Order: sequence, then C-alpha cells, then structure tokens
Amino acid sequence: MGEGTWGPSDEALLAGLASGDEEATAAFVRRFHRRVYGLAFLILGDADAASDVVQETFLRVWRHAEAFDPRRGAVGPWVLSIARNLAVDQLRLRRWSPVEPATLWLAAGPSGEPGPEERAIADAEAEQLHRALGELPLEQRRAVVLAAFYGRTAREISELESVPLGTVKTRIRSALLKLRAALEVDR
Amino acid sequence: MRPEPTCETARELAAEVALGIASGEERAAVLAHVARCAPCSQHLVELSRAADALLTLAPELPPPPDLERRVLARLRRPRRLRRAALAAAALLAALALGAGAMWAATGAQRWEAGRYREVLALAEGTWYGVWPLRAPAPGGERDGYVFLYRGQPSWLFVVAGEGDGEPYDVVAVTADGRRVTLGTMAPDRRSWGATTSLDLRTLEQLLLVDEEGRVALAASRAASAPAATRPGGD
Repeated sequence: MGEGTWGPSDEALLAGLASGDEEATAAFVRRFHRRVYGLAFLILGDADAASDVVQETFLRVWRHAEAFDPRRGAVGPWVLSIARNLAVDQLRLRRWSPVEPATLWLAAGPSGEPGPEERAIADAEAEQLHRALGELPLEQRRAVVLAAFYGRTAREISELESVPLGTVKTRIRSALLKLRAALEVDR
Repeated sequence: MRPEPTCETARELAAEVALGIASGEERAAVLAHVARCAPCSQHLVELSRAADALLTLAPELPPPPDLERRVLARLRRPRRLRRAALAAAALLAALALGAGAMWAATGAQRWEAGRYREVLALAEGTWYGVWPLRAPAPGGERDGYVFLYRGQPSWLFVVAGEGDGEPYDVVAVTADGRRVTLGTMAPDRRSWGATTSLDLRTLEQLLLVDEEGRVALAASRAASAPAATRPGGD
C-alpha cells in the first residue's frame, strides 16, 4: 500500500505499534512526530530538548499502548499529554521561566501548518477550541495556557502575575469551563 | 488525612486536576470523590478532555531531519527485548512442565549450564541466581530450586519437589526485612513463576508459607552458591 493511500485510524496504528508491527510503528511516528515536536518546542523553546522529549514520548506511548482506553479520549490528545508532561518535567529541572514563548504564541495565535486529510475532524474541533480560546478574556487565556502547556500551578501563576491565588483559581476554572462548552457545541 | 471533599469542593478543584497542576493531595481527594460520584466524575472527564484538546492547538513543526529515524531505532530495541522476554517466558513455562523429569534425568547443574544460559542470553538478562529450596530445619533436605532472573522484566521461578498437597504462599523477604507475598503456588502444581517489579538484588529470601503461616520451604541468598553471571560473559 502506498503511503498516501494508507489511512488507518489512529487507534489502529496504535494497536499496530503495541503489537510490534514495524510498518504501523513507522506510520504512527510519522503521523504524530510533527505535532509532538511542535508542542515540545513550544514548551521548551529548544530543539535538542524538544527532540529528547519526542523520543521519550514515543517510547512511553509504546510502553503504555496496550493500556490506552479509547473511551477516555482520542489518541492524539493522549500522545500530546504525555509529551506535555515530559516537557514540563524538563522545564522544572531547568528552573527556567518560559513566559515569553507563551506570550508570543498567544499574541500570534495558534496557526500551525495545515494538517493532513485524516485530521479533518480533529481540525474542526481544534478550530472550535481555537476560537473559544481567542474569545476568552486575556487574563483567563494566559492562566489556562500557562497551566495547560507549561504546567504552572495556580500559586505560581498568582506570583507571576501578582494577583491573589483565589483570583487565579477562578480564572483557570472559568477558562476551562468555557473551553469545555465550546467542545460540546459540535457534538 | 483530610475528609473526602464535597461535590462543591471537588468541582472547584476539578479544573486544576484536569490540567495536571493540582497538588498531589488535592488530586487524591478529587479522585477519591469522583470514584463514588458519577456526575462529578463525568465533569472531570469533560474538563480533562478540554485540557488535553488544548494541547492539539500547538502548531506543528518539522522536527530535525533524523529525528524520525532515531525514534524508530529506539522503539526497535525494547521491542526486541520484549519479544525475547516472551520467548523466555514460554521456554520457562515449558521447562516447568517437565521440570521434575528433567531433574531426574539430567541434574540441575547441566540444565542450568545449558538451556538456562540460552534463555538468559536470549532475553538479555543481566544477572541470575539459582537458590536451593530447603526445609527450614537445620540441615534440611534440598527440595527444589528458585531461579532468579534479573532483566526487563525480572523473573522469579520456583520449582519444588513433592509437596504435601497444600497451597503455599510465595513470600519474598527483602534486605530491609520487608515481606511481600508474590503469589500462591497451587497444591497440584509444584512450580510457580511470575514477573516481578522487585529489585532482585534486594531479595534475601524466598519462602513458601503454608496456610497456617509456617515456612515449609525456604531459599536464601546466603545459602546459595555464587551463580551470578552475565550471559555470554564466559
């Protein structure tokens, strides 16, 4: 089968990866590595560190592939959440403050390159979410991005932004509730 | 220990749990609550889904040119290891079935030197030991062996001689005196094996304990011949 026409679902590729199928493994890595690298680079701002996170992410995906439960969510977000956790661990080791990339990214807006065809559905959802994120008040957007991408705790954000802890907690909660509502619209 | 949170508290904390930024204590409290509260559980699932979906907004980037190759190379190695471990498991299981007969026919020494080493080499094991199992009385008779194999994963394999028809608990005693029950050896099978997350270097003794809590057979590091080796190291 040619590469262009071979379009099994993410779940099928993951199952192939788990069972040790070389072709499925290569296809899985090819499908996700740009997204994983993009996320790791966004968080870490460093090509070498992002590459390490990509390698470790796929290793963990492989290790836990059999435990993946499709009822709890799609493969893509699961893979990305693994990458995010690894990248945040790296950040904490470096004690490096990643506020600039977050701000830059927020200012530019999440654009990315057009995804391949099999991402059409995911893209529609991403667009919905992107719009909802853009409609959040700036302080809520900052809070939820710092938490979701950079693993900043409410207390850290409150120190960073010099606002009371309770206010930050409310911002995070309000932001995530709105994003959740946006995802529900098209279901 | 804090009391389990109310629905209101759980919902206040749910966003932070979903985003992975709650403290361990908060997280534990919320998870304990949602385990018993379906609506809050559903709420947490939905928030987690939103938090994870947010990550998909990160822009894709072309990774360094050889990253894909490096990732695939790293995935190939552990896969080989796992396949080898499965092969080892199958071989050990097959050996267990015929262990008694093999003992009589060839003696444990020859078996150990031959096929056991093969198994270890196959699975890239790093250490093993063969500990004799004895009745706990002084000078007790040898009545089986414990095979220890350290690798990914580690294995323990017990073959006992004629038992007295009782089930035994297989209990590990670690260097710090901790006792961990690893499993139960059924009365009709005189062998038992399992993978273990225990670091075998910390294992001091392995006990077969009967239903009354008496030690029927024991194997220990101290009483074993130094059998540690690296496969292929000789």
